[in-house]
Amino acid sequence: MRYSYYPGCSLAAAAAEYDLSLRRVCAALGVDLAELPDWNCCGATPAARVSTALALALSARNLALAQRAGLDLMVPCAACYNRLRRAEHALASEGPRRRNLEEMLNFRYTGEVKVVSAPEAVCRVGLRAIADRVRRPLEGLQVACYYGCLLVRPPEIVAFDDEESPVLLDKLMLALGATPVEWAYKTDCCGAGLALTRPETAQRLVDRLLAAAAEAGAEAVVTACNQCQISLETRRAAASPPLPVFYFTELTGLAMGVPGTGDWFRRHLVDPLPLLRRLRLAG
Amino acid sequence: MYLLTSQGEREQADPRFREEVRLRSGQPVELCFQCQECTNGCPVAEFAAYRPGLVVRLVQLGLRHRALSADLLWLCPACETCAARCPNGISVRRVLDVLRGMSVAAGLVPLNHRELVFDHLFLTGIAGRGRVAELPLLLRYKLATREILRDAGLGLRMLRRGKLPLRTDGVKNRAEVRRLFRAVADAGASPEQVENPHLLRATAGAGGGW
Repeated sequence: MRYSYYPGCSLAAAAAEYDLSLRRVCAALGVDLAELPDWNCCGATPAARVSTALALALSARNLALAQRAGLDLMVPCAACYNRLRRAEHALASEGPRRRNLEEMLNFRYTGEVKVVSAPEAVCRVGLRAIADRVRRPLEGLQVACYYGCLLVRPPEIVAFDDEESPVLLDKLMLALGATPVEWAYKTDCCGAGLALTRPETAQRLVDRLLAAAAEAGAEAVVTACNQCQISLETRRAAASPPLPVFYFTELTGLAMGVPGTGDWFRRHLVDPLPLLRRLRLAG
Repeated sequence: MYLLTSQGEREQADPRFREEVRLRSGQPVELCFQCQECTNGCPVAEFAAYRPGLVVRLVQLGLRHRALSADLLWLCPACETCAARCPNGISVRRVLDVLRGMSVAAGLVPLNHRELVFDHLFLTGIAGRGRVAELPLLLRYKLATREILRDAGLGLRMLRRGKLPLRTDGVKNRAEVRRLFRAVADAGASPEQVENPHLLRATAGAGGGW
């Protein structure tokens, strides 16, 4: 399998371990990634708040580039995925929005190239195929799979799994030998959008999630969203449960025994090594 | 018609306000029957004086000033749970985006309002380099809001862990990205496509100082 790869701004910075672990896991699974040439920022939430037209135009430029490259576009960042899917939705519609975007970007949308989230692209390899490559099953690791907002809403546009109770990451964790816990906050908001401007409010939301995950018996949180990962690590109260927050690719890579795990885990603000050592999953 | 609020304040109802919000947000606000699904699912409702269902009601009643002054405008984390659960297909989040822009146009918020500062810096960064550079964005935000010391320790921990690189790449074809900003700002795009015209003009470099 081969994809164009849209890392997005965050994976070059605060979410570097997501980028590093995803590239390693894809290489080990035989998934080729070719970075999309000259990609630009999707505009994220600020562009959408200021102008829907601007948000669509910024995202659509990347889809025009992807169409030229001729491969489906894999998007790890949940915010980018959300924005690019909206642009894809506007381009796939018949109407003035599509024509405006095509004119502005001087291209004709064919619909041949699709936007795919990183968790969907990885799981597309096949859960059995992934399970077959597990060298170090994550036995004893109880995880709360956390999907957040951007992968699942609006459901009619992003169409990622079930909007209220997604299970894709839970199934992947089972394939890796971990134990996903049942909990009711899979798609509740972590307040990442408020993390900088209203940190006290963001912390209330984060603490609510961590308390619920701990109460459900989880010792770690797993996510496919870098906004969530960063806000769960940085906006928690000192007294909140000390659960580390993993990218799904980190646990996949750890279970498959791919090299480089130390470089991912040292970047975490909540050190995951004590937990992994206790479960004899790290040296 | 004057309406009394629970705080005993009078405000004249303005039916044009409802129509303006309806048109600019593209949301069928008149359909809301106050089931409060939006409020029940909203992660910040408990911190807001005016909750999502109430803000929609204020819009329906044409209470412009009350709606544009609602604290929820600035508290909304854009999670869109309201939109996913509304039985009438209303995205309160979209309504709030439009109310934000109208609140700015009406001069009800200072331009150094932290959410506006963040959006402005975020977008000027994209207009300039085509991509967001997180470290410069954070530093500019801290300077603009005079909050240099807040989170300084966190910033240093992130720097040490390589999460805030000093240099990141920008887009090569910056002219094309800038052209998109200009095209949208100049097009006088249909009203439901520009939620905050002031901020858009400022970031597209067409509207003078911000």
